[in-house]
Amino acid sequence: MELHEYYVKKIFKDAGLPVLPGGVAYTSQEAMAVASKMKQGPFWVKPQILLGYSPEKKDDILLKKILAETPKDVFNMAEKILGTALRGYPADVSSTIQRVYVEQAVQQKSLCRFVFRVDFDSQTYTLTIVSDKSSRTFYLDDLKLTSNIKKEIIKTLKISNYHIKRALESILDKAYHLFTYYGAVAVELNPIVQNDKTLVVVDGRLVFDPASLFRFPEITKYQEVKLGHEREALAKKNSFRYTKMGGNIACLVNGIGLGWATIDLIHQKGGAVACLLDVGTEPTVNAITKAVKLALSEPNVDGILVNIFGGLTSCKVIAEGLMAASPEISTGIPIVVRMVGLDSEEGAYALSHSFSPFLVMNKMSDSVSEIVKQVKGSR
Amino acid sequence: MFFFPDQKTPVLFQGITTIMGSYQTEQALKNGTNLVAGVSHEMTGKLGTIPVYPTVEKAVRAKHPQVSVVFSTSQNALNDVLEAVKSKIPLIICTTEHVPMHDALKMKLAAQRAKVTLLGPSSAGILNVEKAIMGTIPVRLFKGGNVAIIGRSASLMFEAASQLISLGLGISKCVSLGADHLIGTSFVPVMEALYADKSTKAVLIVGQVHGTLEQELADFYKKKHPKKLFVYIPGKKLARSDKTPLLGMQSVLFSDVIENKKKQLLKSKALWIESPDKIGKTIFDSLKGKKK
Repeated sequence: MELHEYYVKKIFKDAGLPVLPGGVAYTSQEAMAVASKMKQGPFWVKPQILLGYSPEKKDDILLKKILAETPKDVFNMAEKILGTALRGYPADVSSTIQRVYVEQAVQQKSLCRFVFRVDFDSQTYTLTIVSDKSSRTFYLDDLKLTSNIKKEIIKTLKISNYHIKRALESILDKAYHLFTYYGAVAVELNPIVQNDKTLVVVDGRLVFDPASLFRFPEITKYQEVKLGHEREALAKKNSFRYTKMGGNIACLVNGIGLGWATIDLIHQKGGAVACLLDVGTEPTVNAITKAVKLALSEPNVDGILVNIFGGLTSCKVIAEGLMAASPEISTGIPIVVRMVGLDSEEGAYALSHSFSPFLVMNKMSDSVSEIVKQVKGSR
Repeated sequence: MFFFPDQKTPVLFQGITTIMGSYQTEQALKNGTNLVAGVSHEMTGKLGTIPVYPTVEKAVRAKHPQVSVVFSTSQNALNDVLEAVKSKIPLIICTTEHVPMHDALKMKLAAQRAKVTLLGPSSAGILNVEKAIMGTIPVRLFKGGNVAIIGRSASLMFEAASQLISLGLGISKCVSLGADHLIGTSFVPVMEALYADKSTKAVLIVGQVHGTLEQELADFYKKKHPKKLFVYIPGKKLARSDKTPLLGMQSVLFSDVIENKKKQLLKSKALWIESPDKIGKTIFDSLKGKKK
């Protein structure tokens, strides 16, 4: 889930960051109108599309920002872009470009770029600032942007002009405020250019922490599914996690560590994982059923391995979820289920007495060998 | 300082009336934990025999707990942990999952400043086998013995424990640091406590590709290694790197990161476990070899 550039720019603008004038347009007429309102050209016409997995062949022309001199040029560009589908996506994925962002273009060179982020290695906030001449990372150990750090940055960038100094300090403060206000993973301003005696933020990224979004329902409303991430979104809606890989064995687990270990073992034994479905510590019957159905709906999946370690997870719930997906399992796809721990006997009993061909096993290594063997014959 | 609570250590449960909190209260009472009080945003009075207070301060004044286990929702976790920090409870275990990253950093900083230990967030807690349970680790999976397990992802720690037990070995302590990127306690303080623990002969680390906790552990273990150390880190076959890297960040392959951690740990005389189905076997063979 992500935000389109035009909405990120709106957040930047609302936070008081100096962004370029611009507006979103759904038709070529609207695009021209946005451009006409600005004092003069040139303009940028930017296709608004959230790319997830990018297709093999990139439609470069449809992904880049395009320079247009006059409002009439903007109209022509928008005419070309809007309604065009990106090539390389499956037919069921709508990759048509529906919006463009028309923005005042600037051609000055970059003064600097910077990013505030939560750094997992140092376990604190960091601020990295990059210019043509230098690159520096500051650690905000007290979770504060101090005036000392700001002074250091000005020194590093060798800025002497008073107005530019003040402008940069203000941008740093406002970006930092955005970063902490939203509890963001990162706020990147890239690049910042100098326009006479002012600074302008030309582009930027705002990476949200999904865990903090319960505080910002308005953001969730504007987030859209990235192109090619439809399965991830469906999984999220049903409270499990889906990760696409490249092979032909779908792997359903309860916990990421166990999941990764299972992937290691499958690959070690000569198999390849198509996708990882992680239902977490306390899955519902629905989540398990939906996860199996999602796996079955993938054309390249030839077999499913369910590996559950029932710590808090009840194997009875797992079995129930698997059996509820049974009607879809008529395709002859092998499903190996390894369940141990809480209620594993009841769960295994239920599965081995169901009509669907679940192969229930006890040991992780045996179950992995079995699914790899079964899948090998299928292609 | 990190320590292992036992059946005598007085324990507080925050969020005792959440679904997880009340379920774990039952488990704790059944398994020897000296649960002296609870804190709840929903009720006061008593939950079974356990007195429930509206604030940590009141619970601390009445019952002097040395450990607080936080079962709060992700919305309440930050404030609840800060409350425990303010009351200077020496060991705070936050079991809450999906805690916002900035909240986790604020908890960490507050705990550091107050010189108390924060385990988690996303920790499954501490199991002092056959003595006391503090958290969500399922006691019934464990049997006493002399191997300690410290890990990130709980599901894989349980898998490892069951492999050890099926080979006739047992577990002394099980500590879950949490699988989140940002956590309060790393491997080293727990390892230090294990060095002093007579019941532990060997330690198994279930690591993670993210972060640098394993490197830190390698540096610590290099200096002094009175106990055998085994390490398994899942994810080397993921052939993945992180998404579009941010400015100033390099995209690295998981397999390279793990290979790097492996090298450092081997240099420090730790023993490396290559495959997740061989965790039990590797430790069993090594410990048996030592007895001969």
